[in-house]
Amino acid sequence: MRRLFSLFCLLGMLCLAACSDEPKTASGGVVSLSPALTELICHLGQEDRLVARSTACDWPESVKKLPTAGNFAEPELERILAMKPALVVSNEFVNPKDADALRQAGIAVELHPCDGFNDYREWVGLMGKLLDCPGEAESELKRAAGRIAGFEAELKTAQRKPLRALYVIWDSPLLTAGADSLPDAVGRLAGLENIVKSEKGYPSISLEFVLKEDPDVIVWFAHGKDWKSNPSWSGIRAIREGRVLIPRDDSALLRSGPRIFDGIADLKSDLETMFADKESSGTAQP
Amino acid sequence: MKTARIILVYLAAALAAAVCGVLFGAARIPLSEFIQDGALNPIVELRIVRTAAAAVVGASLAVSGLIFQAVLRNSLAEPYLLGVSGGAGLGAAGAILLGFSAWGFMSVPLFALLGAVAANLLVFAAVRRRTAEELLLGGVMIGTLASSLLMVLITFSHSRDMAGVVWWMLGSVQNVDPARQLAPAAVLLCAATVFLLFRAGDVDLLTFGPEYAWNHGVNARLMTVVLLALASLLAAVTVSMAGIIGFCGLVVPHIVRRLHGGSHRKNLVPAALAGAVFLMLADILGRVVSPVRELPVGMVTAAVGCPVFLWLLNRSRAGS
Repeated sequence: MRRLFSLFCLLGMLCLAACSDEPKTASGGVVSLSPALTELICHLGQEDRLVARSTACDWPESVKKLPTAGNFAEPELERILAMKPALVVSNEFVNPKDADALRQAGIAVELHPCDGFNDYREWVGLMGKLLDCPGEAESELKRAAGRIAGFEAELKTAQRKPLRALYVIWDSPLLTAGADSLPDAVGRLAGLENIVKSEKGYPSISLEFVLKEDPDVIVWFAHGKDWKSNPSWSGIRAIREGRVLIPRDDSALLRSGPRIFDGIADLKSDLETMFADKESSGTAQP
Repeated sequence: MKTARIILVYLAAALAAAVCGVLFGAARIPLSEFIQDGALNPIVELRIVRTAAAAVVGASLAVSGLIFQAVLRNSLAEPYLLGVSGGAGLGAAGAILLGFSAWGFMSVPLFALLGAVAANLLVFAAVRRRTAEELLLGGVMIGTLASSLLMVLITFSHSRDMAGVVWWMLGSVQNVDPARQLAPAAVLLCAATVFLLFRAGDVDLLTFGPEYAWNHGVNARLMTVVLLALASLLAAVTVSMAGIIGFCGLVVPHIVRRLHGGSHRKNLVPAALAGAVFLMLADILGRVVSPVRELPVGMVTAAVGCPVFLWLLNRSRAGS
């Protein structure tokens, strides 16, 4: 009787282990459908595991040689199935039916949000387990914590109060970054305060609201778009006074990837240069 | 009521709506702050431009809808019928998604205008007999083809670009260039209104059918083509300026016709002014209800226009 009970217990434990959400190490190729995750995989020294990427994955330069397998929301199922990878990683925007189809084919699929520092930390830990590189993941977590602590310490000792900023993701319609977005979190560490506080995500806002809020600086993420040719923008004081900052590499700031901390440092230094120049010429607003 | 008195009433309503358009918005500005440092407050300047744009777009759509409904003798006719919305949508989306929007602010409106005019010309070229019914069917076909191509472009687009396309398709008068867009559109509207006032008798005759108009000395086929081309051009210019704004061109002519009868000489200017008032009020509502995000004006026109129109419809039926 005791043996039978022990056998049931063992079977029960095995079933629980099989049903648990604990990620298992994937032994085989990896398809990444998110640029931030592709960067993270390479940063953890696992680039040789990648067998395909999304159309948006463009860093490091070497990943461009890999074949594409769709974009972050729409995986190309047939192409991925033909590659027979062990793991597909992306953010939560992938259609659940596509994810189920991949799982039914025996491919592990990990879909989680990837839009902030907390998401980044979780992905680093998860990648450490999935790709069997816990040491590299641990050191990346330490590096990230150290960089964030460094920025926060600099903010505490900063002499200038945070600059009020508008993050322009797209110019027409005016698409901006709201309260809980990645640019909002990045900007806060760089000494900026988002003027859009009541809206979350990436809302489209009115020009009149921007004119009313009168931001100190505009961070221009609308790559390739020109604010000078749009007459509606000329009423904004920051535009008239040349306080528009184009990030050196907007992809580093708009992706929750390993380059984000260097992106913040660049943004901080560019802001300091801009306002030092404005102060010396007497046109700085704040 | 005499025509002049009717027009005066509509003019007063339009002036009142324009004043409200300048006074109300996302920010509360006291009258004393309308002028700052000897210059117009930028918020007030923005409101003046967008109110004027709403007036011109609303008036153009109403005039266009009035002509479409008269010539096609179809109560469901609206300004975008001859492929204008599909063509303009394809042009604008093409400009955004294929990267031409980087050429400058005017590239998207220009591509939208080209798309609308091209779709319109295609309808006139593809339909051999060019009667009202065949042009209507040709317009629906070309419009459907353009919409399908637009969907193909959207399927291959980046999500950030798609937001631009979707917003553009919902319509907005926020980003209108006063010199390069508003002024030419206003000139076209005035010229079209004057032409249509001179030809109002022909439009009245066409509402009884081409044979009836022909028997009364009107070259019905030529007049149908000229009127539909003019109405489509008005719609194309508004689409390139403010995106696709539904309901205004459909509802306003119906309301004006129900209130003042079927004479186009009598209806034309009231319809234009009513369209202007309708869109100015819809724009004010869009920016007051949601000050930060701002509701797209096309959404407001549908939300407001639908119940108002149904109420009028039931009221007039109960009366009859």
